[in-house]
Amino acid sequence: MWKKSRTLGGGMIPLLAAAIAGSFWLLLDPGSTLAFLVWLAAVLLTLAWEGRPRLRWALGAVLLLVVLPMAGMANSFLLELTVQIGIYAAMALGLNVVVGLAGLLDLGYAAFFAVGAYTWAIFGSAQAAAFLGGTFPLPGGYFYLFLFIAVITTALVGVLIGLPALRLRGDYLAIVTLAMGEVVRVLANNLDHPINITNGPQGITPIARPPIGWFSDLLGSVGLVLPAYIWYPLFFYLLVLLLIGLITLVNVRLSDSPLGRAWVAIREDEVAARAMGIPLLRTKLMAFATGAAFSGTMGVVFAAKQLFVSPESFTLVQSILILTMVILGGMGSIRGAIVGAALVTVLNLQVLKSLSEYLNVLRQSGAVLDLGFWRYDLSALPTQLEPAKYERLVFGVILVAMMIWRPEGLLPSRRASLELHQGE
Amino acid sequence: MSRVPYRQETMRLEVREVSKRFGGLQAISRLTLAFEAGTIHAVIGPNGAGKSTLFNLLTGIYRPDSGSIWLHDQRLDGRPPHQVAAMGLGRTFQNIRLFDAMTVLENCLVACHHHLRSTYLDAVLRTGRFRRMERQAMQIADQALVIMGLGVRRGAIAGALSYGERRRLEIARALALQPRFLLLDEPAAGMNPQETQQLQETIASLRAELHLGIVLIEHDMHLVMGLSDKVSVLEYGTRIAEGTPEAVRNDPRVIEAYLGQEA
Repeated sequence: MWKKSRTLGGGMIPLLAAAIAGSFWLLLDPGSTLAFLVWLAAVLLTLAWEGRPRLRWALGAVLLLVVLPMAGMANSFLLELTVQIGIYAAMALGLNVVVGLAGLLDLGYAAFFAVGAYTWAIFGSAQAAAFLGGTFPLPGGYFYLFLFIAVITTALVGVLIGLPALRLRGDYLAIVTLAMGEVVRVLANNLDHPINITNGPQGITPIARPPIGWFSDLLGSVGLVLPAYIWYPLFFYLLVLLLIGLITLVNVRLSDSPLGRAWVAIREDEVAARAMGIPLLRTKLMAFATGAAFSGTMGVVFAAKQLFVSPESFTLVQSILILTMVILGGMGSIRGAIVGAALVTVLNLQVLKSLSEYLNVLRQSGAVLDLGFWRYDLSALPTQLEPAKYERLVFGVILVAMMIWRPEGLLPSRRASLELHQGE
Repeated sequence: MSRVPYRQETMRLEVREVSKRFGGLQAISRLTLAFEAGTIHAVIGPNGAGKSTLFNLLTGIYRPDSGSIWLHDQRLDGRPPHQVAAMGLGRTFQNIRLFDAMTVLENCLVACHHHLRSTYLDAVLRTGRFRRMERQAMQIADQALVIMGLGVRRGAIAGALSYGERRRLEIARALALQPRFLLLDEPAAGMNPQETQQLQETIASLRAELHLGIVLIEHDMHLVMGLSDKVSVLEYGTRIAEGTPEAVRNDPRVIEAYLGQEA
């Protein structure tokens, strides 16, 4: 039988210790990967911790709204990294609805991200003029409107893809969604002729950013005079935090509603769900559209942040990556999706890269490892030993290991943990 | 898809000349049956007589090849299962099909939602209407659980219940649909004599208090004979006898179907 499942945040002491240590370390040495990891651990522990809601909120607010922005001023890569984590977290939350709650294995989820990103990329750059004429790009202010427009377009695309795909079940659905995901990418790749809509493999650039004069004024009015280069990273950071907050709220409320229960019922037993009055196709379409909408909004943010989109960003590997996050965190678990997204992104963008750099340094140092009985010349380290290139291997191993030792995920949903541990 | 008014004494669920064939097997052939509200009507017959096929036809899982199915004045055949459920047919399954990962209460809540009108936006914004609907659903679900003696288990995970409790939860879930007709597919299968006895009393009270029409497929003859107002006997997809338990028990065709022809 399984060991008693313990949440990651067992006690307050380690949490506070991690929070204080991580915060000071990060503020003193904003370039340190380890310091960032400790800070991130503190954030995730805060999220996982069960007790004292008020203290938890306060701690989370300090870590996210004070410590990281301050460290980010010294090292804006930190903001960049956390925005990336945030974008993935939002997508993991969306996929969590589809895979975790409704049990529909969607392997083409990055397609919706692509649709959202291209929605703004096309109209927020001169690209739209290529097939619509008129004067584009739209003024940057439209960015805010497009956050909502993307919700609608991606939800519609979700329904469009879902209508044929959702008549299938299980493995068949997975294969079809995989194919649909590829179709969207290939479309983006080839829709540069006969009419140039997506500009094909070259991608679209530059994409307009929202005007943030109001934001720097706002910062100024509360006495924060910041250098201009930090405005956009900080703005995107706060915007992503806000969006994650909204998406989490929608997620929580839906999962504890008739619709959320219908999703879980369908996941558990389709025949019984229908016999209890649940319209199968419509309920599944709602899951697809909801997940797609979350992803689409983040696509708009991604396009504006990167200033550039191309089909390269929306491959099958992206879809698998997001799925890994959901499974790692715990299917159907909202906090799990966020934790999974943070861990996978950090591993991908930070840890593996740092390891590679470290190995490189070792290689070039020409040092010799001498254990007396065994000598190894570090400069002879094979150049193929490059962890940054092993990401797929690492994620594969993570998925397999999770399935063997902790199939309910790191932060399982209440339902999953009750089900898997009911024998105790 | 409007709902038929409640407590209509004359409400009937009718199967008219229905046939259903699976490949070379004629599962149901030109079967006509009528079930009345407020009665317990058992459908019995040897294995393979077409009893479960009949349930699947009634609830829209199968479509009849010919013939029609009526609830009061509304035609049921051709409608998808969720519509049939919403119109007032609640059912259980021979091999229990609960939502194992959900709590006992949630299992019943799922069945409550077809007659509540709250939307996606209501749920996201937690409007007053949403809260009202949730309260209402909670009441219906709780009522169903109390009737089936599962009130104290409402917070438990369905997958963790004992076998007898699972059988009862299936009935409670079907009741939460607030059906006109309750179709029970071998509700006593695998139960011990005490549990069966208890179940018999519960089913009898459902008829009396809720004025439900109850259609019962069951192999436990003691239960069938003790509970039913009317018994229909199927063999090879056709009705070979119908009447009071007493009459059916002594019908030579029934004895033959069950025991084989006497030498």
